[in-house]
Amino acid sequence: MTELNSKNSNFRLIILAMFVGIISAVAGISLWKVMQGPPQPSDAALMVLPEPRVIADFALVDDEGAPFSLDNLRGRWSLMFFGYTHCPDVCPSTLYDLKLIQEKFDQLNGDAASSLQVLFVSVDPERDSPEQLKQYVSYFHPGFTGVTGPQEQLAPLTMQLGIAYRIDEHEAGSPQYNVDHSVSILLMDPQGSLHGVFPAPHDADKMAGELAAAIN
Amino acid sequence: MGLIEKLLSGFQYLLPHHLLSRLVYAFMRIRLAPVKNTQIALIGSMVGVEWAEAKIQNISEFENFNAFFTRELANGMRPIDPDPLSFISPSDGRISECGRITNDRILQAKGHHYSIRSLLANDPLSAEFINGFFHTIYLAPRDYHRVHMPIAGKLQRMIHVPGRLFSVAPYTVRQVPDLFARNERVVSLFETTHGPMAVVLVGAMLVSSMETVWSGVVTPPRGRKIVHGDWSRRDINLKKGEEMGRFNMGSTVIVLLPPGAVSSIEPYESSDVMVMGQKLGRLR
Repeated sequence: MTELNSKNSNFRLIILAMFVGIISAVAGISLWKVMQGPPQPSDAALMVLPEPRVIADFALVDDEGAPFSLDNLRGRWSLMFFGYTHCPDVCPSTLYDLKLIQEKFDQLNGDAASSLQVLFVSVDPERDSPEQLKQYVSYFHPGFTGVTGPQEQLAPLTMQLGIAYRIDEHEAGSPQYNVDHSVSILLMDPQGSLHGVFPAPHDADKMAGELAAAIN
Repeated sequence: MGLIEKLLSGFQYLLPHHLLSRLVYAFMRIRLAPVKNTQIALIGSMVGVEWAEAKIQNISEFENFNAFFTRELANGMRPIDPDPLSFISPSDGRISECGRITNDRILQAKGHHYSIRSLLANDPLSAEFINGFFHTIYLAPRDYHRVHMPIAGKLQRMIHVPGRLFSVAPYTVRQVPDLFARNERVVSLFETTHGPMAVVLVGAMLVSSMETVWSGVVTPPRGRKIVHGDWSRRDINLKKGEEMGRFNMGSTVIVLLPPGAVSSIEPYESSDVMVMGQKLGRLR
């Protein structure tokens, strides 16, 4: 009698163990699946527009105080990045990426290096004078050009290029305010049209390679 | 809560999504009058359908449950926002998320983003929507299931992207990464006066049947390959508010507009109720 009982309870224990086992297996696989990565989209760094986007002329100034318009984009390829010199993190790190890209691009291209210009456009003309821009961009690379201009000129240009920015409200003359802005790097073709966009995050090696391929 | 959500959504990975969906598909097309009339009355009441809005008021006039599910509404039930520069909600439902696209990343739920390229199956137009605007609208079973044009447009391409069929209930949207870029979907790309526009119909658990007015039922069959259809020479011009497609059961619609097209969007938040024709924002 006692033997039978113990057999019975052993049997129950086995069933219970199996049941717990199956449940944990299903739960385990479920958790593992939900944590697994998704299928990968194209991993190209450069997103090329189906048709280059033609941009209306604009009147800005470069870091020497000289006029800077659509004409200054013509005749060579340009990388454009929008930001401001008081930017705490994104702008310095992106300009550093641009410096690496310029160097890698120069290595890949040798003499053709001059066919690329790198532009940093400040959307904060209230604080960023041409002189200040010059000092700021040369710190990253002597070949970089700073550009800025009045908001009436910046607004339509950034709108056409798909660059968003918002300047925090502040008292006139107050030096303390932030600017939110898009961090995409734009590639302009030698006609001055938008050819493609490098969305963040920016991998300098990859970008330089794809840039060289796009230009050549 | 977090663990339960993870378990529930994780469990969904193991289900035979398409088989379940096909069973429901068949179930929704039973024509036998007593069966389909009971289905309509029972399920309709369960999910809380607004009976008074429907054009057909007599249950027995619907051919099957699906005809009821994709029912037309009575005239005047969904007025189109009169502002000529507005763009409107393509469907009934609730806002899942909406706002600005950051780079090429679209917000799915707090902490989860997916890329434009994965949603649009690497279509070259993806680049046009960088830093643009998106609205994700989740349809519940009770909702009106036809999808209409947010603004007028000419059809360029339709892409059928086969995929899985996770539930699009809010808990799964919070838990399954890249959900909208994994589920089966039908991407329609239009040319408009304000540049390109993408309207994406995303399938969901038990809901794999989507159709468009120009091509009829796109799915099922499910297929295994991405199918790119060029419709640009077919002159399919649809007006704002005109029907463009329908879900033969509930799911999610995603509208993408390029950054230069939009001057402002309405300050909607997650789970705000939308009706088709309601203003989502204003074009430039």
